[in-house]
Amino acid sequence: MVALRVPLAALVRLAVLLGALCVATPALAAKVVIELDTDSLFVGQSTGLDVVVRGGDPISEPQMQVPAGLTAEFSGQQQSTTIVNGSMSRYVKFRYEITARQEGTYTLGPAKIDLGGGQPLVESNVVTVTIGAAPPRSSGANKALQVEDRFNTTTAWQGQVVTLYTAFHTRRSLQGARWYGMPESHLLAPRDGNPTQNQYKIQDADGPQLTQEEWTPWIVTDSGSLRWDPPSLEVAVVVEDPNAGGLLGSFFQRTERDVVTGTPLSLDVRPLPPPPADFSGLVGDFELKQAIDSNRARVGSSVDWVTFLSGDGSVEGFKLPPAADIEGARVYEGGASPSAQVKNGNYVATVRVARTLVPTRVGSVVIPDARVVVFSPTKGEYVTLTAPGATLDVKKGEAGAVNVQSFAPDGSAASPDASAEDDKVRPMWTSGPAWRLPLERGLPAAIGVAALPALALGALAIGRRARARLAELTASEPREATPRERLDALPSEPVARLTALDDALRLALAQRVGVTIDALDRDAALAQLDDATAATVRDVLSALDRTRFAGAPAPSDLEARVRAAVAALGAA
Amino acid sequence: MSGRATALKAAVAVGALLAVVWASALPGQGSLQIAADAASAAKWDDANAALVPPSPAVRSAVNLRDDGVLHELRGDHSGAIASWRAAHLLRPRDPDLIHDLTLVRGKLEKGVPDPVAPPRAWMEVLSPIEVGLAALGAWIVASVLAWRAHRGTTDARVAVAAALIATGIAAPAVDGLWLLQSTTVGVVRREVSVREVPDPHAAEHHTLPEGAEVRVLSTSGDFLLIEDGRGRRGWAVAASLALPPP
Repeated sequence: MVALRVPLAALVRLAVLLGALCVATPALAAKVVIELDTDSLFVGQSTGLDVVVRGGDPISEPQMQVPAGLTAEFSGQQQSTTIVNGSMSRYVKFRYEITARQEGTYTLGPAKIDLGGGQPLVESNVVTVTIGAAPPRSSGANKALQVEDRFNTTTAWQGQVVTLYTAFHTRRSLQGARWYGMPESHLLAPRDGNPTQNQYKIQDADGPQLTQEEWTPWIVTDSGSLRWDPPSLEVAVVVEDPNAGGLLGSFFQRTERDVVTGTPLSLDVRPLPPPPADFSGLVGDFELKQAIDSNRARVGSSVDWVTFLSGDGSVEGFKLPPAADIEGARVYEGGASPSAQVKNGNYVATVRVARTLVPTRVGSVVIPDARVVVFSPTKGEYVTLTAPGATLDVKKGEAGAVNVQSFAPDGSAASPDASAEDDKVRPMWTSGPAWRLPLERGLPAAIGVAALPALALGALAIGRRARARLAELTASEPREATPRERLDALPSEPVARLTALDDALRLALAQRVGVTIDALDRDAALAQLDDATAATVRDVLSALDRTRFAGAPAPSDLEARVRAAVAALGAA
Repeated sequence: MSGRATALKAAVAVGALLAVVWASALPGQGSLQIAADAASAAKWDDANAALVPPSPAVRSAVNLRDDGVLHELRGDHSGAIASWRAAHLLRPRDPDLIHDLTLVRGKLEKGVPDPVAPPRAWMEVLSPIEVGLAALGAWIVASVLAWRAHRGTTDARVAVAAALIATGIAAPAVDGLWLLQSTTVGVVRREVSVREVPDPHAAEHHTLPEGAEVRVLSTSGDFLLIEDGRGRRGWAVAASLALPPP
């Protein structure tokens, strides 16, 4: 019993652990985020707020404390499930309409989501919304369509990334909107990071107001006091037509063109001071980090060594300086993976540089600090970013103990039991065949010679088989007996004997004229014979007919006459 | 005669053949020691001379490997790689060769393109000569079985199956043996311009850094038509490439 109790207890504990893991996994995987259409409102205005649940299946609406200056009204729920590369992701969105009731700055959230199963509630982030006192009064065309354009800064350094914010607000129904006259001179679009767009509606006493905004990143390429003409927005405004209605009315509604011009844009850009020799070319406030995937490794195994650089500047073309030789390890350079986006109106770029270390000896391998010199716009000077190195504790390799992955350019697997001597070429061999016969020249012929008996015997067997089959086929068809053979095997019964004599003679006649016995025309055949033979045969045939069919007695010499006639036909 | 006896006879035949092949190379063993001794005394010419095979024999994998070590000892990485690649075709699983190739390629400048792959993927693990000998043995067995089937002491189906298996081995073997004769891997000694035609004034298609491994496809005067690991073809001056010893 004791022997059974221990594994049972262990199984129960394992089951409980697995159960807890199963229950906890969805909660750990689920993520809840509050997304607000706009964080700036006036008293009386309303806008949308979403509580988005990813990777979980909530059993009820989110629980969220709403501050006194706001009201929140649930307006609907959306959900979707997508499967990408075999991985399923679930997405549930709760939509609320937030209305500003009182001036002030308020914090919304966290929203709490119940995923059921007795799991703890999952909390979201918090968002801040600012409510202004004076509600806007829209009157006239200008108020019905307003545009905004501005850079995220008024002063910059040459090479810095700035973002241009453009937006329009309208209470009119639009069929299209297009910006033109956007600044392009003195600016360069970074290779990484596309413009970001956002669109939302605010509801107030004057009705719905649509806002469409866009942030575009630009690298400032020149210095000085830069000025640009104001950009303009061209829109197609739907003209209200009281006569239009019905289903087709919306297809044929009239529009009129309207153009609204923004404000002139400017930037005061300072040139960079003379750079140090090791300047990386990056302008921005960056952070440098590096990491290895494990502080312990075995000789011959691979260790990922990753360096991250992130900040608000462009990382286009950035390369880490080649890694210095590391005592006790080989370094294989990997690729750089840049990415960028505009987030909350600011440009954020990251570059990930991957390298691989393969320890070649036992002991400590010191990975050096990473250093990159950049220009910091906030400090107005060149700064050296440093990411501390690490120490790798390398143990002797054991066959099968590690998953050896070779990054050698020639694709050969590094030996897992490599040791310190592996830094050297192995010594010359002094045993073994120093030279060889050029087998590659003679082996194909030798293979052919070796194959010859099998192929010849195979051909022989096939031929023999074919002949046997042929003989078998021939034997299966019954050969017709010759007239002489028929005469030699006459039956003893008198009637059958007469029939056999008749058949033998007619067969001999048929063969003589070259037809089958069935197709024999006796008179025609006799006409082809010489007169003597024809007379002999005709005489014998008549005797046979008389005997067989007229009841005349058989002449005593009938059989001899038949034999003579057959012989005559054969000789002829 | 039982099937076991037939298999035994076939094995003896194949073993005898291998023994003949092995014995044919024994006379060269002493030269390896001579070459090693000369190398340790830095007498490179003597070491090289000791490794030159008598006609009609050719260099074995052992010989080619030692030739590569001699190059490496003199700091000629490209020459070492060229000899080791040739040896690798004969002994693809040899751990010393794999180690040395990995080590020396690791010493090359960054950005050297990947080496050209063997002409057939299976040559990464098997030598064409090994496969050829296997095909020879398989055909000997198939012939014996065919003879026995002819005599009526073995089922003909067994002989047919043996012949099919032998054919399956012989087809890649003959292909591989032909490729072994026609494949030459060269290694760039110093950065070289690869041109569109074999003319020193022709347009440069691309350049290859020291240590880049290429397959030599044909020759034209002082130029070689080469193909690198990325499949790029062009003409390069023959003197700029290290080739395995003849």
